Amino acid sequence: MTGKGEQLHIRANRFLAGLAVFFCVLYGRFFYMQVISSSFYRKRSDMNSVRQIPVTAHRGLLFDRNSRVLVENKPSYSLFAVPFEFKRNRYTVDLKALTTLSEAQIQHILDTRRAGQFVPVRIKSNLTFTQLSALEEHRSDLPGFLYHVEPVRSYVSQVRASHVLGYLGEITRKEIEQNGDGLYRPGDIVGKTGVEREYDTVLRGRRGYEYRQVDVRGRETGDFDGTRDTAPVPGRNIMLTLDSGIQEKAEELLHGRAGAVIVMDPNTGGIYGMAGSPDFSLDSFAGGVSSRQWEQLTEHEGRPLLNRPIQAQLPPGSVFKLFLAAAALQTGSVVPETVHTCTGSFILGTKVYACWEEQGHGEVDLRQAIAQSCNVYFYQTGLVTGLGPIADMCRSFGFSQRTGIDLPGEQTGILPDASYLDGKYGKRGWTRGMIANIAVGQGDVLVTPVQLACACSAIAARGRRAVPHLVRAVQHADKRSWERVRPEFSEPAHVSAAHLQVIQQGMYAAVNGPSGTAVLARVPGMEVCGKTGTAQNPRGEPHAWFAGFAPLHNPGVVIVVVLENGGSGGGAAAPIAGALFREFFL
Amino acid sequence: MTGQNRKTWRLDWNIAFLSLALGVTGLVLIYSASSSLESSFFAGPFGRQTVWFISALACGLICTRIPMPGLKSGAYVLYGTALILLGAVLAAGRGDVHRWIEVSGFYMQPSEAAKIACILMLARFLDDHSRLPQWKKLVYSLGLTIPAVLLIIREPDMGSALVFCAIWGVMVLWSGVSVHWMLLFAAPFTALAAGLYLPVFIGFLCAVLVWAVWRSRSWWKALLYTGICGGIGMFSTAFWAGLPQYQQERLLIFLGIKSDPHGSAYQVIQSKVAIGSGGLLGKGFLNGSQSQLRFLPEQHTDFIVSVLGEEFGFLGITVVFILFFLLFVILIRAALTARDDFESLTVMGVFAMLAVQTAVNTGMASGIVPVTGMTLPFLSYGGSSLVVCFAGAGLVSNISMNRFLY
Repeated sequence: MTGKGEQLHIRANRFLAGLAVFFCVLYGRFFYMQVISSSFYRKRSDMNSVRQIPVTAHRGLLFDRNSRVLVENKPSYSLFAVPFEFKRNRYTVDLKALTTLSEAQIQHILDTRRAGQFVPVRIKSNLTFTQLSALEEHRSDLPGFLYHVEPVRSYVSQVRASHVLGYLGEITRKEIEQNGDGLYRPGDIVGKTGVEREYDTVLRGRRGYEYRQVDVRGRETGDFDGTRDTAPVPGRNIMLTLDSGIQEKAEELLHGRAGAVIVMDPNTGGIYGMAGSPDFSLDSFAGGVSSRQWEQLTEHEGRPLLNRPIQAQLPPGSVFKLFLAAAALQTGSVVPETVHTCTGSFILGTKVYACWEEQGHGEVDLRQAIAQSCNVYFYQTGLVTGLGPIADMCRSFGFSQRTGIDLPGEQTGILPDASYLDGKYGKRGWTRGMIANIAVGQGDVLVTPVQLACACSAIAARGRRAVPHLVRAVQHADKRSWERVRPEFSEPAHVSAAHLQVIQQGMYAAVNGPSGTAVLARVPGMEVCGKTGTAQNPRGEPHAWFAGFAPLHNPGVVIVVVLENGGSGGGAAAPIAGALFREFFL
Repeated sequence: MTGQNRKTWRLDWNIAFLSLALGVTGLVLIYSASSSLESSFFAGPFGRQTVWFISALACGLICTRIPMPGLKSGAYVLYGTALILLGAVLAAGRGDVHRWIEVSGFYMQPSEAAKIACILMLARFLDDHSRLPQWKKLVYSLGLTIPAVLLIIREPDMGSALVFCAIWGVMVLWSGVSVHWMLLFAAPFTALAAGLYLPVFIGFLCAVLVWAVWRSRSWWKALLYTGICGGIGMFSTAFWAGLPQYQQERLLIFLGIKSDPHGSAYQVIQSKVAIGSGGLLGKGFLNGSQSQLRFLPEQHTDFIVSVLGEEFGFLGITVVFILFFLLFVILIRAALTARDDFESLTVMGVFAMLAVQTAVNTGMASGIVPVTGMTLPFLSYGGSSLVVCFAGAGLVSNISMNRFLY
C-alpha cells in the first residue's frame, strides 16, 4: 500500500460513507419509533403489555400394582402476593382476618421466598371457601394480592405409605441451583421425599407458557393472540409395585409401635409393602404444611419423619447368624453336621458369654443351631471362621452398602471388619470377644431393614440379588400403554446354592420345628421359613426382628419385620410376619 | 495532549474517552436491567459485570503497550491457539449450546478472543502477501478464516460467525482487493442460497449477468460466469436437503423466515414497545416499565439498547450513537495514519468487528434485522465480549501512538 496514499484515502472515504448511510438508516428507525410513533408504542406499553405466564403441567398420578389410585390431584386455591405492590400499599383492611397472616408474617414470607419484585409469591395454599369469599369481597382493598387455582395432591386410598410416596413442597433456592438446566424455577412445587422426589422429573412433565396482556400495574387485561402459547406437557403416571392390601395390613399391624415392615418379591426386587411407624399423614402436607405442624413433626420423640425401612440403622441380633452360617459353610469352618455342645454359656478368656437359653441347648448341629438360635454354637463358629471371611460374606450379601432402592436418603449401616475396629478402638484395642459379639449380630453391626430384606431375598433366591424397587411401570405419554421397569440385579452373593439350602432348612425348622424360635410365624399349610432376632441395645427393651420367606420351594415373598425396643423377636416380630404371610397367600 | 503526557500515558485519549464512556453507560444500563432480579451484589449480573469491567480495563491498558512487531510475529500462533480453544469448547461445552468454558465460576467465550486472534492473523497474512494476485489473496485469506467460522457455526453461534465474515471482508477490501473481485468471488456462494427460491434465483442471475457484462465488456465471458453461478444454484436444493433438520430450522430462524419457538418474535415485539414507548426523553432511570417488569428476556445481554431506549429515550440513543459514530471515525482515521500495513489492517479489523456488531445489534432491537444473538460492543452484559472490545480499543490506541515513533 506504500505510495498509494491516495487510493487508501478513497477506500477510507468509501467506508466512511457506508458507515454514515447505515447510521442514518438506524438513526432514522429510532427516530421513527421514538419520536413519530412514540404515542402508539407508549399506549401499548401502558395498556397492553404482554406477559409470559408459566402454566404448570398436570402432575402424574400414582397407582398401586393393581391399578388402584393412590395419589391424584385436586384443585385448590392459593393466595399470592406481589412484593413490589405489597411494599407500596398501605392496607386499610384487617389482613390477619382475611389471610390468617399478619402483615409482618407476609413480609417475612416475601423476604425469604421472593424471586423478583414483580413475581408473585405464594403465601398461602388450600384456601377454604369462606376465606376465598372473604377475599373476593375485599378484592378492591387488596391490591398486590391475587389468587388462582393450583392442583394439590389428594390421597384417595386407605393406604398411608407416607414415607414411600413422599410429600411435595415449594422448591428451595438450593434445589434450583443444583438443577441448573432451567427445569425448575422459583415457586415450583416439587417432590421433597419418597417416590415424589425420586421420580419428580417423570411426574412433573414440562411447563407451558401462556401470553397474557397486562396493564402497567400488572393486572391482566386479556389473552394475547394465543398463537405463541405453548401447552404444558403433562407428567407421566407411575404404577408402583405396592399392593394396597398388603400395605394396609402392614400399616395396621405396626400401628402404635415403632418399627418397620418390608414385604418384597425376592425374584424381582419389587416391594409389595413397605411401612415405617410412627409415620405422618400426607394430607397435612397437601398444599403446604404450617410451621406449627412442621415443628410438631420434627420434634416428636418418635421421629415420624424418619423413613425407617431404609434409614433406621439397628443391630440385627440373631438374624445375623444366617450370614455367619453362610460364611462358615463357604470357608469350610463348619459342615452342616458339625456339632457343638451348648451348656448355656461360653467362656472366652476371663469373660463368660451367655446363651439366651440358660439351660443350654445340649448337642446341636448347624440346622438346629439356626432353628433354636443357639448363641454358643455361633460364638464358636464365629471365632473359628474369623472376622475377615464374615465381613466379606456379609458384604457380598449387600450389608454396609446402599441397596439401590429408588428412594432418596437410604442409609448404609455398619459392618465392622478389622480395619474398622482398628480405627475405632485402636490397633489391638479390641478383643476376640468382640468377634464373638459380632457373630450374634451385636456390638458394632448395624443394618437397615431394607438391607436385611435384600439379603434374605438372596438366601431365598439361591444367591441372586435383585435390586429392590418401588416403580413397576411408567405410563406412556399416550396414556394407553405402560412401560415396564425391568428388574435389576447386583452381583450374586458369594455362596453356593447347596450351602444356602442348608440355611433354608434351618430357617424352615425355626418356624415349623418342635423347638424353633419363630413358631409364631407359622401358617398352616404353608412352608414358611424364618429367623428371629432379639437385639440388645442400651435404650431399654431389645429390638425384635424377624426375617423370612415362603414357601420353602420357589419362594415368592420375603418379609422383614422389626420393632424398635419391641421385645423378643419370636414373641413380638414373628406373629406380625405370620399375619402378613397369611394376608399374602390367603 | 503534550508530548510529556503522550510519553507517560502512551494513550490515545480520544479512544480512551469514547470506549470508557460507552462502557460506563453499559454498566448503568445493566444495573437498571437487573435491578428487578433479586440477588446479592456479586452474584447478580451487575456485580459480575463490574468485576469484568475492571478486568477489561486492565486488559485494554495492557494492549496499549504490547509491541506491535511482536504481535505480528506471534499472530499465527495466537490464531492456532484460538482454533484449539474453539475445538475444546465443542468437546467440553455444557448443554446443547457449546459456547462457554468455565474458569472458577466465570464463563468464557473463546469465540470472542478468537476475533482478535483472527484479526491479527489476517493482518499479517495480507501484509506479508500484499503482492499476490487479487483472487489468490481472496481465496487464501478465506481459507485461513473458514476453520474458525465453521467451528463457531457448530457451537452454534451464527452471530459470531457473521462477525468473522465481516472482519474478513473489510480487511480484504482494505488490503486493496477491489469490490468487483469480491463480488465475483461471492456470487457463486450467494447462488447457493438464492437457488432455494425460484423468483429470487432468476432475479439474482439477471443481476449477475448485467454486472458481468458491464465489467468484462464481453458477452461470452459474462454468460459463462452467469452459467456457472446458475449451475451451482441448481445444487442448492440438494444441498439444503442434505442438511440435518435442526440446522435447516436454525437457518430459517436466522433468516427470519420461520418464527423462533423460543420466542425471538416475542422478544422483538417487546423490544420495540420498550424503545418506542421511551419517546423523546425516556421514562427515567429505573423507571422503564418494560424493562423493570421483566417483559424483556435477555434484556441485559442482547437487548440492552431497548433498556437504553426506554429509560433514556431518543436523547439517550442519540448520545450513544454519537459516541459510537465518533469512535468509528477515529478508528478509520487511525487506520489511515498507521505507520505500516500490518497496523493499518489490524485497526480495520477491529473497526469491522465493532461496527458490524453495533449495526446488527441495534438493528435487531429495533426490528429491522433478524435476531441473531450479537452483543452490543461495550454495553451488553457479557465478560468475554467486554474484555475483547477493550482489548481492541487498546490495540488501536497502541497503533495510533506508534505513528509518533517515526
